[in-house]
Amino acid sequence: MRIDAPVRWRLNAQRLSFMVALLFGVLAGLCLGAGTADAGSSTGKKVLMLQSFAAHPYVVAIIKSFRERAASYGMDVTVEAAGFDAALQARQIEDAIARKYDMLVIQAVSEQGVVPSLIRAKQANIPVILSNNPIKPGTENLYVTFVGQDQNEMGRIAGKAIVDALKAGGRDGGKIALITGALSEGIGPRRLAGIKEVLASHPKIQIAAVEDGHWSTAPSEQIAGQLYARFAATGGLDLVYGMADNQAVAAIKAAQAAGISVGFGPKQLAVVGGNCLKEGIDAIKAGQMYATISQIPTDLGRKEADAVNDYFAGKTLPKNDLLPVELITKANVDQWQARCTY
Amino acid sequence: MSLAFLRNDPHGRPLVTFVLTVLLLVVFGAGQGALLSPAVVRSTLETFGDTGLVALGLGLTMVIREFDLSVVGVFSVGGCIAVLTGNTDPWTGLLLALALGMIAGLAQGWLIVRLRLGSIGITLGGMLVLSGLAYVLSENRSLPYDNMQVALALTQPIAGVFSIRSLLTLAFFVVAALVVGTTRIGRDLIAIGSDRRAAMIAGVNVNAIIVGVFAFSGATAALAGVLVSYSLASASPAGLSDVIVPAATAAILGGVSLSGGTGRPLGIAIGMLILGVLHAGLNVLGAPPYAEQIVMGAVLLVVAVADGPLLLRRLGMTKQLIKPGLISGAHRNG
Repeated sequence: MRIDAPVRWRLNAQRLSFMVALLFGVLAGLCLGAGTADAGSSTGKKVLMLQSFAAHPYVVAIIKSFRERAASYGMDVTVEAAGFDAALQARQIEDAIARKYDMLVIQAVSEQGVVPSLIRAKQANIPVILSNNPIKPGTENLYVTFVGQDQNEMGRIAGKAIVDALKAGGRDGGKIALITGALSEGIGPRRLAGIKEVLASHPKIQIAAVEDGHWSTAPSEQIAGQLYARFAATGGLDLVYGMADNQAVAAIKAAQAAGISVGFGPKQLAVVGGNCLKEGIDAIKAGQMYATISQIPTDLGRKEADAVNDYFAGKTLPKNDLLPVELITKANVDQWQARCTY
Repeated sequence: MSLAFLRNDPHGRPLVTFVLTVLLLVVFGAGQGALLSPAVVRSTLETFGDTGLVALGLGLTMVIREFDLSVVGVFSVGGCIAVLTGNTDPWTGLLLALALGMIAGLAQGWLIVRLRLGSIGITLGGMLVLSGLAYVLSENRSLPYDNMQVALALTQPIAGVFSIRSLLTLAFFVVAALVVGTTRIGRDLIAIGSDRRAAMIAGVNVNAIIVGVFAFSGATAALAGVLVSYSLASASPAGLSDVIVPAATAAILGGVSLSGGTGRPLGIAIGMLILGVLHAGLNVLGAPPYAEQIVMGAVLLVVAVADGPLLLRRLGMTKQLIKPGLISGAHRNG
């Protein structure tokens, strides 16, 4: 026994140090757990995501990543889409109020038309997070936070890319055409304003045409074809901008069909895109497109779920929770390829 | 008995479809119990209030064997005019929009009877012109309507399930049903839709009725546009809502045939309620966004097939065969 005693003591010392280590480990784990996500503050909350439409890979990716992240918090998520029908979205919000959801995440169809519904939601004390589409200024008291991109900034980045693309071809000015997303409200006009702001200090760059392509591929291709025909007699265009990559690539196809050389050489038609998509990334790699701008739906969906959870955790959220936007050119295209492909 | 009811009463089939739809939803929603809530009734009535007026006007043009495509344009331009002119006084906007809708309808109706042209061509032209006008008036901008009191009043719940919009739409349907059901105009509509030449010989003022129905369709489409625009406090040149597909669907579900001569206002109202209850019901059941379209399409298809004269004749034949015991007898012998 006597001989055993120091051995046992040694053993006990080992055991003790092990237990202390374990205790520290558990404590550290607890602290870490509490610090990362407040997991569980939104557990069981009924959250309704209202999309303006669901028939686009961008929106599908937002929904998917939102669902995954929300599921990890234990939220009870329902998704509805309005097919670009503002009246339908208003009814969906009315229904959601009647069915007492805990939180609404809304991608507004109409920046004006959503306002009366938001007033109703506020009266019913149902918090709203806005997704992707900015709404009418002056209504900030109607929602908790806006999660999305700074569309004016995206326009300014596009504006600078337009200047740089012309410079790459040795031009300090030129005739350019802009094929935009829907201009009646929302993202389109804000991005256009950003572009015009930058181009205002480059008087040699002349905006020869601004055409509304409604974010769609086929109309954009038609518009581009008509623009090439229209300006063929007066020396042609120096640059075409497609607000989304599908539109920019449509403009490239129309140019190829019209026998116009695409690239950034002195006599070539330069193309700048936006809302990075796989086809845009491919066009940049192929040397057909000068640049696009990051807009990553999976980041957006996750950030929105985090915002919902933070709200229920009692955190104060910023009015605008903005995702970083970056210019993508040949120099950094490889690092964006995976995230722009969805 | 049920077949006879389906064939003879103009409201029979829509009513049966409505009841079947509700039953189907209740069965699918079994155990949830959420389906028979005031929220679902209110949602159904709001859908009714959004598109019902367009369905009524369009449905009546279908009854006289025409089709008013221009409701799309009238709906959006009506909303734009109301929002542009009705900021201080909503009634001014409403009246101007109604006037434009009615004039558009009158003009198209007049062209149709005067030049003896098909309504599809004329109203397609009308739709394009009016939609274009909406873009010109709004300068391709979504227009804000600052009179938020009007917006909130129009959708404020009344008695839990109604709103001014849905009550007004309901009132239009009741008046239309009374006019069609109790006056000569109703019989004339059906006569024109069934056999225009015979109606003319029988002394029906066919031209006046056609022009009148198109004027009514224009006015109701404009009113629907105004109501939606006022309640969303905005107007959009692209139209705030897709109206023609649900309106035509409601009319067909409501017993109106594209070949004319059948259908009543109350039937169209029931058709609208079928759409509304499907939308609200699937919503409660948590169906994914695309499911609604599929179910709606399936219901429409079933109704269209059931509507076919061939099917009814076959059913009638089967009945005759069963009656004298031919089928059962054959079965026994075999």
